[in-house]
Amino acid sequence: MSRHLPPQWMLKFFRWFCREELCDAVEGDLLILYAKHRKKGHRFRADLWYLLNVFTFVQPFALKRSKYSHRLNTLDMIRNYLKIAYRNLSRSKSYAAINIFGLAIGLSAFIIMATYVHHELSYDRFHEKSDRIFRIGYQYVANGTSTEVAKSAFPLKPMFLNEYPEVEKVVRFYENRQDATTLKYEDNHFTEESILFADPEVFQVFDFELEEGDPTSALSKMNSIVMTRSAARRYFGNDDPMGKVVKYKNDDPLEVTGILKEVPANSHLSFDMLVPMELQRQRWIRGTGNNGYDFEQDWKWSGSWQYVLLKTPESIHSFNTKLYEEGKDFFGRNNRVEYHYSGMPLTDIHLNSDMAGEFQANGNERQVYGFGVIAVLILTIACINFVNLSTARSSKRAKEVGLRKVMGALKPQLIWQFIAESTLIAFIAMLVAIFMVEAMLPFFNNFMDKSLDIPYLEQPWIILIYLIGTVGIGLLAGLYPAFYLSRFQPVKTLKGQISHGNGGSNRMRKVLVTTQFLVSNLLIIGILIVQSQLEYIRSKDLGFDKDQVLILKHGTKLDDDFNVFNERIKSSPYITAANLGYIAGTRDWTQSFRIEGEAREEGKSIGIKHVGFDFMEMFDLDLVAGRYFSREMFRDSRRSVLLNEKAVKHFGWTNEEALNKRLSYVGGSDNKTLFECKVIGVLADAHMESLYKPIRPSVFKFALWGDISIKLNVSNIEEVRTALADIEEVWNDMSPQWPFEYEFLDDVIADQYIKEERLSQTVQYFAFLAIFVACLGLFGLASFTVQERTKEIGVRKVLGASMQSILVLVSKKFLLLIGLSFLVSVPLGIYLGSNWLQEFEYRTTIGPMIFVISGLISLGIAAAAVAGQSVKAARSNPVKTLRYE
Amino acid sequence: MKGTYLGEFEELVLLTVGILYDDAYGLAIKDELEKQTERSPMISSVHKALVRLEDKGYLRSRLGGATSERGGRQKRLYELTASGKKVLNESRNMRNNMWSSVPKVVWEGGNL
Repeated sequence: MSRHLPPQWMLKFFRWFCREELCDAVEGDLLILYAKHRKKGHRFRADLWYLLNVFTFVQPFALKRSKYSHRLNTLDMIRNYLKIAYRNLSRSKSYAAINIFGLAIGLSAFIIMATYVHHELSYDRFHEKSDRIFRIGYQYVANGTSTEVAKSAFPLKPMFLNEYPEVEKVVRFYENRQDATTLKYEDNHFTEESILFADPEVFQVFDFELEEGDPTSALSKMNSIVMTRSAARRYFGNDDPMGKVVKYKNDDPLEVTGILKEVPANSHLSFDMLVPMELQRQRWIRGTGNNGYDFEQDWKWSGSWQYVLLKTPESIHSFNTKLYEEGKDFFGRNNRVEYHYSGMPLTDIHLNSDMAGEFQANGNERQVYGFGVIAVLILTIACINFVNLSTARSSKRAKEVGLRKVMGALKPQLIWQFIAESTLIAFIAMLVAIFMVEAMLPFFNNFMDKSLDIPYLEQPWIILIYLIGTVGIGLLAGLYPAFYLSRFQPVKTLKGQISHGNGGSNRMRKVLVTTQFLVSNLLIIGILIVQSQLEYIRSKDLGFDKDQVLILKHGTKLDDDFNVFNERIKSSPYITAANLGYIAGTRDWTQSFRIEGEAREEGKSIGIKHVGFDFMEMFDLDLVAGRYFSREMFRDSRRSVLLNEKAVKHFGWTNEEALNKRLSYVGGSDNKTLFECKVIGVLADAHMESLYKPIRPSVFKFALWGDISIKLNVSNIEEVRTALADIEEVWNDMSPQWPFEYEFLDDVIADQYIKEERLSQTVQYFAFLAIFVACLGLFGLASFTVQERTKEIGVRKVLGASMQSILVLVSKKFLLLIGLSFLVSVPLGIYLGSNWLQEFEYRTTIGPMIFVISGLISLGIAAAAVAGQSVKAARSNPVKTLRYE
Repeated sequence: MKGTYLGEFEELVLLTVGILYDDAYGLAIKDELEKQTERSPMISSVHKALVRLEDKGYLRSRLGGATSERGGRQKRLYELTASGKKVLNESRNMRNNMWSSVPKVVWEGGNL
C-alpha cells in the first residue's frame, strides 16, 4: 500500500521549526489524520488541513529550544545596550537632538537627491525596446564651426526602410511651432501646447500606451487623433470621447480614435495628443501659396525627430557605419558641406544630448551628478557631526567602558555595543527623515518643475534600501567612536585619568570640523557665483528693448488683415504700435546663403529673420550703416536685406563694404524658391538668441507674415488692463474664430534661464541645509568644550581673566579651523565656479567680493554657533563653577 | 518557575492519560477525549498540554513503537508520575469537599 504523504515542503517546514523531541510524535499523529482526510477524497483540502494544523504548532512550546536558550544571554546584553543607549540619549537631550536632527536632515537631503538622480537616470527606460531605438541626428561643419542637430529630413524614413536592412521600423515626430494649434469641439476652443504629429507606427515602436482604441490603427487614418483622458475631459466633459470629432485649426475634422495613457514623467518626448503625420503633409500640399509643398520630397529641411527601431541592438554599429559613410555628402545631394550622421541611443538623449532642435531642454549629466555629490556631502557632514560629538563625549562614557571591561567585556563586544548605539540613533533619524522628505518633496518638485514621489507601497524594496542604508550609516558613523571608546584602559578610566583632549581624537576632530566647513563654504561660494551669473544675465543689456512688448499667440492667423488691425488698436492711448514678423528674442530660422561672386556656400549657420516695417523702431535697435526697410521703396519687400554686424564680420567685410553686396538663398514655403537680395543696411548686434550662445550672424529680410507683437505704452497695471481689453475687443471683432491669447516678451525671454533659476534655488536650499547641519555640530562641540573647561574658566576668572580673553579662549580654536577651511575653499571654489561658467557664452567674472562675502557668512554663522556657549562660559560665576564637584 | 496550577483542559488530559494507561500518546488521547467529552480539541492543543504537564512533572514520557501507519514516526508514550497522581487526587478531593459544602436546598430547588 502506497502511503499518502503531504507535500514535501510542508514536512520540511514542520521539521524546520519543531523541536526534535516532539517532531516524531506530532508528525506521526498528523500523518495518520492526514491519511484519514485523504481517504475522504479531495487532495487539496487534505493538504490545506495539514498546513493549517502545522501552523497551529508554531507556538513557543513546540519551537526548537536549543538555539533559543543559547541566545538568551546575547539577547539580554542587547537589551542592556539599548537601555544604556536610551539612558545616555535621554540624559543629554540636546546632544541627542543635535545628533538625530542633524542626521535626519542629512538623510532627507540625501533621499530627495537620490530620488531626483534616480528619476533623471531612468529617462526613456520604460520602453521595452529602448535598447533598439535610436534617434537620427547629424553634425555639420561649416567655416570651422560645427553644429549638432537633433532633427532630420522627412524622406530619410523611406530611405532607411528601403536601403538599410537593419531597420525594422521608423517613427517620425513633428511639432508645429510656427503658430499656436487650436482644437475646437462645439463651444470649447482651446490652444493645445502639447500636440505632436507622429507616424502611425508609434505605438509599435514606443511603449506609449492606449487605454482605449486600437494601437495598430489609431493613427492610420489621416483624420484621427488620440488624446489623454484629462485632455479629453476639457472638450467632452464626462462624455465618452471615443468617436467624437474635433476641428483642427478650425478646418480639418479629427475623430478621436484612442485614449492615451499619460506619458510618463521620465520620457524625453512628452505630449497630451497625437495626430497623424499625414495630416500635416496634406495641409501643406493643399495650403495656399505652398505650390503643393510635400515634405516627403524635401531633403533640405531637417524638420522631424526621427527614431529608428533596429532589428537587434548590436546592428547599431553596422547601421551607424553605413549611415556615416553615405551621409557624408548628404546621401549624394550636397558635397559642399560635410555631414556626419549617426543614431543616438534613446536612453542617452535625456542626459547626454544638447543639440540644436531638441524636443525639450534636456537634463544635464554634470548637474545630476553634481546634485548627487552635494547630497553625499551633506550626509557626510551629518555623519561627521556624529563622530565628533561621540568622541568629544568620550570622557562621559569612559567610566562605563572601564567598568564593563573590569566585568569581563571583551573589546569586540564593546565595539558592537557602540555600533548598536549609533545604529539606534541612525534608525530614529531615518524615521524622522522619512517624514521630513514627505514634507519637503512638494517644495522640491515645485522649484525643480518635477513630479517626483517615493512609491513606498508600489516598490517595497525602497524600504529595504532604507533599512540597509540606516544600518550602513550606523556602522559608518559608529565605527570610529566605537574603536576609539573601546580602546580605553580600565585602570586609567576608573582612576579618572582620561582626558577629553588626547592627541588622536582631537586631531581627528579638527580635520572633520575643517572638512565640514570646507563643504559649507564651497556651497556658499556656489550660491554666490550662480546668483551673480543670474544677475548678470538679468541685467545684461541685450541690445534691444524687450519691455512692454506683447505677443499674440494666434497672430499668424491674421496675416492679411494686419494693417486694419494695426490701425484699429493704435487708437488706444496705451498702444504705441503693432509689428508683423520676427520678434526679437524669440526663435528664428537658419538658412544657407550664397554670396554673389564667391563659390562657397555658408552652411546653415546664418539666421534669417523675417521682419516688418516697425521692427527696428519697436525694439529700439541701432542702425550702423545704410538704411532700414522703407514703405516707400517697392523693391524692399522682395529684394532687400539688412545684416547684423556679426554677419558682416562673418563674411569678412566692413560695414560700408557690406552695403550693396548681393546674397541668394533657396527658401519660401515650398523650400524651392530662389531669393536674390541686396544688402541695404547694417544693424547693431543685439542678443536675440539666449545668452548661452554667441550672437548669431543674421540676415533681416522683409516679410508681410509672421507673428504679431504689440508695443504698449503703459505705466501701471490699470493701464495694462485697459490696453489688453482694447486689443481683445478689436481681436474678437476681427477674428472671432480664434481665441485671444497673449504672452509678454520679457516673460518669454526670462523662461530661457529657468534652468539657472532652478539650479540657484536648489543649491541655495541644500547649502542652507549643509550649513545648518554643520553649525549644529559646531554648537554641540562648543557647548561640550565649555562644559569640559568649566573649572579652568573658573580658575582663570578668579585669577582675573577678563570676559574677552575667555571668549577668545573658547572660540579661538574653532574660528581658526573655520579660517583654515575658508582658505582651502577659495582656490577650489574658483576652479569649480569657472568650470561651471564655461557653459555660458556671456558670463560674469568671479570677483574677490564673492569670497569676502562667503567668508564673512560662514565665519558669522560659526561665530553665532559658538558665541552663545562662550558667552555663557565667560559670564559664569566662578564660585559656582569651582564648586562643581 | 512553572506554576503548579492545573487547568481544566490539562486535568482532562491527565485523566485521559490515566484511562489509556499503556498506550497514551497524542492522537489516542485526542480520540479518547472526543469520545469522553464530546468536544474535539485541536491536535496541537493536546500536544501543548502534554508538554506542559511534563514540564510540571505530572507526566513522564518515553519513545514507543513506530508503525508504517505513522510513516515510521515513533510515538511518544506518556504515563502519570507520582505527583501527577497526587494532583489528580487533590483535585478530586477538593471537588468532593466543595460538593459536600453545597447546601442540600440548592439541589432540591426549594424557594427561600
